[in-house]
Amino acid sequence: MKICVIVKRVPDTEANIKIRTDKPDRIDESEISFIINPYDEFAVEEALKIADEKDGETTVITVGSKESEAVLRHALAMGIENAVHVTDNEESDPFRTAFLLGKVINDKGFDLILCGKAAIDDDTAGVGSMLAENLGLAQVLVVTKVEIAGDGKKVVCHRDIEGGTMVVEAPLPAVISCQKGLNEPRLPTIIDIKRANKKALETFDSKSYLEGFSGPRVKIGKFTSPPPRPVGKVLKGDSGTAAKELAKLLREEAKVI
Amino acid sequence: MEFSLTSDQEMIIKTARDFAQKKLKPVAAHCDETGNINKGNLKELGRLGFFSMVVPEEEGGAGMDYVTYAHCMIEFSKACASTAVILSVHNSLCLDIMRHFANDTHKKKYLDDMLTGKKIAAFSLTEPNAGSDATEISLNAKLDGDHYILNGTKCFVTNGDLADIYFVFGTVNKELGSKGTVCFLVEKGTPGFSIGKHEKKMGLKASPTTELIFENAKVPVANLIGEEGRGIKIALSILEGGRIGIAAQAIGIAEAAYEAAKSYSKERVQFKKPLCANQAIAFKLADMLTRIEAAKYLTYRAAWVKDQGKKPTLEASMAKLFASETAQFVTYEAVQIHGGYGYIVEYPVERYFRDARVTTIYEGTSEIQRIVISNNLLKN
Amino acid sequence: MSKEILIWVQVRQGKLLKIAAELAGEGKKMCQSMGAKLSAVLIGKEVAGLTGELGCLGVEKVYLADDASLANYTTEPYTGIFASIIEKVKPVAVLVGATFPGRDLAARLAGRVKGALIADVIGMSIDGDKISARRPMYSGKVIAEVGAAAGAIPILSLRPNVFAAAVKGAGAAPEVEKISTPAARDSLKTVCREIIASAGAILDVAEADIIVSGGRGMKDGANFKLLFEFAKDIGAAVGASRAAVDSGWISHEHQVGQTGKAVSPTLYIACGISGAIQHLAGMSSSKVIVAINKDPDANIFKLANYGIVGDLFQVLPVLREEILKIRAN
Repeated sequence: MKICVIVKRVPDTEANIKIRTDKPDRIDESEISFIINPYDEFAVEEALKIADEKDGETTVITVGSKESEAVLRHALAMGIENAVHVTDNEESDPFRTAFLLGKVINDKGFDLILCGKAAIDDDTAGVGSMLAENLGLAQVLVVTKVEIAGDGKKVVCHRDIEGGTMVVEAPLPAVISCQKGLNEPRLPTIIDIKRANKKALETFDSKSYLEGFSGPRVKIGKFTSPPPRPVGKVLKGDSGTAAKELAKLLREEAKVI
Repeated sequence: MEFSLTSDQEMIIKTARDFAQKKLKPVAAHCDETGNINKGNLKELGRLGFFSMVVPEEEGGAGMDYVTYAHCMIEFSKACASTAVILSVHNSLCLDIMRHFANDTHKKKYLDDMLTGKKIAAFSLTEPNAGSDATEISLNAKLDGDHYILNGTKCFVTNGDLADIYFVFGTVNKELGSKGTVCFLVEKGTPGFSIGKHEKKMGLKASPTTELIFENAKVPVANLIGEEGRGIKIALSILEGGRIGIAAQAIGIAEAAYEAAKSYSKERVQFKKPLCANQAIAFKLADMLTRIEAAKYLTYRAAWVKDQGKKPTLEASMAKLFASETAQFVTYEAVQIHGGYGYIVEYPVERYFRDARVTTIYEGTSEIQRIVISNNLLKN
Repeated sequence: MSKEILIWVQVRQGKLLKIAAELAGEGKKMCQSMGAKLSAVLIGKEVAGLTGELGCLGVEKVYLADDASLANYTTEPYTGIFASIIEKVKPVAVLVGATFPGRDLAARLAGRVKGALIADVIGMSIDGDKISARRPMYSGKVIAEVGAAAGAIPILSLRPNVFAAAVKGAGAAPEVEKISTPAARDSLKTVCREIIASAGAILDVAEADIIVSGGRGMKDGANFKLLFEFAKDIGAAVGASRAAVDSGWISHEHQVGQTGKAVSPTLYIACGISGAIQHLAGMSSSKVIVAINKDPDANIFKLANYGIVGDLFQVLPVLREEILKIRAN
């Protein structure tokens, strides 16, 4: 079974995001550290687990700048066998990323494609679906359980929906996006880190795959900081008095109950 | 000295940081309160390679350099100083003895389990009447056929009952002074060997510190490390690595305290402004960070000298002295910045303050470090 | 051909979701600025009866795909039906709710019709024919203004509970056009085997109007019972901070925040939650935030509209009684 994992380099979850003063549609990356998208780590872990059970071969792919190599190394250190880097210096755009991935993956052929449920930077959650569309494959998104069934011909997943879980069966190959709760990603061992850093990567320039690409679909106008909230009230008195006062304010002032 | 890190180093340190923040930090307060270390976490640290950090890959270890080791110890100590001291004793004291003084039979029998953390090791030099002056040790070892018979009591043993393997120092004849000293590898379960009192401590409460009691304990002659008369030499020759480990531990505790104080000083509002808007507080933070950074570079420097294959006697002592004294200063000020909240256990600075205290005491007190440093600078 | 805006009116268990009225409300506003007609896409099993209700929400035309095979949302048939309508109508915009199925559908549709996918929209402005949407990025640390590139149909998913719902009027019965259900390509046939309702929660955090959420201050998993009782009586969902979820006190589907769900209910009651930045990322767009915490310096108080420095175990029962009393009158 050939399994592919799509990963992305994103700012650390704790990074202090500042908007660039010279380019208001960009963030200032000079002082932030980058990590593998946390949801993509669930995808890497799941790929490793499935490969372990089904004797599969695993490949990790990213589209992005030279610096994105670090997230491939991270996936390799976790245990992925092969890594493919599609170097691309354009601002990340799901439509473009899905186009490039579609070309590369089509050339290689996989039985299962895993990705994170969304990247925590732009949070569009578009690449998985668009990639599935480009490849003509089924998709199951926001998945918390994956089971390969039917002799590796299909997959049964639990996916999050409002108020519960939907159990979905899909034919393979398929694109599956991974949600927190699916597994607990392993940390790489020291030895595996060193081994991963010595591995050769397969590298493609995005230019060689862009034929037929019709351009980005969205335009970011500018970034602004979220508006500050008005100063709140702290209610005085003992717990009972304060709770009564709160109920009254929620009714009469805030009008939310 | 090289200041930038390689990709290997960066990723290994990040793994240490991730593990520390995700696994050690959330349970650190609980471990401190109950006095129990989280054994699941130790097992995982073993799997990741942190129980064999500085042992070369050819010998079955993780093959890290001491600079990376120091960085990782800082990360672990920032989250849980008790876990860090368990690692420090195992890695920089016990594994160093194993590598440099143990023979092939010892290695074959014990090393693999030590490298995976399956067997944790303890280092036992101190006795009730032999602390800084280790030449006074009196644990008696008497040769009897193919065994030594050990009698006496050791104290303040880190990893006390947690360990499976103990490196124990004694003497075959106290009158010979240091020339009579010996080092044994003692296995848990050796007849006549038992764990004594568990010490109740000020800090590092999750790291067990116990007495070791030897009552006609029978240790095979094969478990003698080195030769008779070399005990103290072995103990003294591995101190630098241990001091680098404790310097890093002190820095980690200090850094955790500094960060807690910084964020508290930004959140806490008094006289209608955050604490940090007062220069008296802001200057404290400036001093805290400056000293932490200085301690880091002394420590990295000592680690780097060791990585060059040299003996960093002076460097390790200076790093240990400065880092541990820095930890006192920084944790003291962190509590001060927290005011009353710093004195209650709800806030972690209370624990940092207690944990930091021992760093100027064990692995050579500050006074011993000053002796080492001054002897060095005056020797010519 | 007149301009149209298409909204996806999501149905569950035979009923329109609340988001349908919100899409109709915002869609109508957009139609007025753009001179367009508001049309709804209604897909499901035995849903034809809902067209009247859509008329009351201001929908002028309904594209109806009613078939037993469409009872539950699955990507391929819904995308196929929706895409066929888009190709025919060439709408000026497509609006769906940023629910799990909504985001699934929007992304796949955007891939198929090469549209401009703009997800999780929290604000909108129209200038002539140009739509500019505001959406949070970097976990809410910045708000981006995003528009469609020339020639691309904007496909927007709107965050629930943010936009004003259409006021129900008398409303003329909308024109109904039936859409045939295209056969899904075999290779894409996904099947919904079953739906498991999440245990315990009365409502899901992502769609609830009121969320009562617990953090480290809950001290124990058993204490979440207090929140579930509150939620049941008041009609709320139970949320949780990462600290509570990581401690194993409550399952992850309750988690609000950076690694959990982003929510914006009208009322968010944070109990024993300190307000780490990761948590704030998921709930700071709530309309009204209440914080109950013992620690007067807890970060959450900076964000809260109303705060009580006190013991949540004492405050919450009184609050529940008082709300029930107010509602009874």
